[in-house]
Amino acid sequence: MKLPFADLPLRQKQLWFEVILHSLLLATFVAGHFFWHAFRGPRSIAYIFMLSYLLPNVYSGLKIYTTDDTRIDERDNVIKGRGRNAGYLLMTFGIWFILIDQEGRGFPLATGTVLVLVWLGSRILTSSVQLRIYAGHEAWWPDNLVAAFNRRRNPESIRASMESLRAKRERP
Amino acid sequence: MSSRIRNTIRELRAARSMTQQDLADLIFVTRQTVVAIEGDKYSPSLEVAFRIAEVFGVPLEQVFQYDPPRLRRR
Repeated sequence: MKLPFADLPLRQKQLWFEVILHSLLLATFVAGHFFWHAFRGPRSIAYIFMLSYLLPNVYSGLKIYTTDDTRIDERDNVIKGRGRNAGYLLMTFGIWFILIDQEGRGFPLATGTVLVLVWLGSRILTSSVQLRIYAGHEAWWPDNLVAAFNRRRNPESIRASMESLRAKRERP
Repeated sequence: MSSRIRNTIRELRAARSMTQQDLADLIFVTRQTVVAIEGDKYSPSLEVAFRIAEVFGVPLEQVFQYDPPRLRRR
């Protein structure tokens, strides 16, 4: 069986794999959660959840790692770092969410469930950000937004804002 | 990750009939990184930049040119 992203280099292949794998996990987890709460079963969905995590990993181990050039260079590390930053941002949000929930605001999700959702969400975000940068985009955000931000943050605009601040301060 | 650093790698490579994979192997990076550098999508580290210049046998400033942002004169 040939994967649809088989012609991509190793890193991007791994990332696509992670995105699909974690999206599948997320869908299975949400479905399992729904069935357990709505109909009190079946619990076997938990085993499907585990299998959906294990089987693709075994497949990737056998198929991808044996057939590819595993060289990873500085650009891969830079992109990996940017992806991780996005993932950590979501994780931080999750921790705050749990802390707020502990105060008794009454959100109807258990702490463990929120942790799994945040974990899967941050993994999907991490891989997606990296794939987007590999595809030639500036960041996760739309390119025109990033370009507008960069245009505003040039040395001239910074100097102009500093001058206006100084003028305000010196005004009697 | 586009930058203000321009380069002449494509021309230097073409003059030597060198493929992107050949250059990638010589400077120990992936072909995708060479593609990104050539397209001004990625600024390499100093070490990789010097390796590229060494492979082509030219000074660094012949390979990379910096296009500084225009500053307003006070």
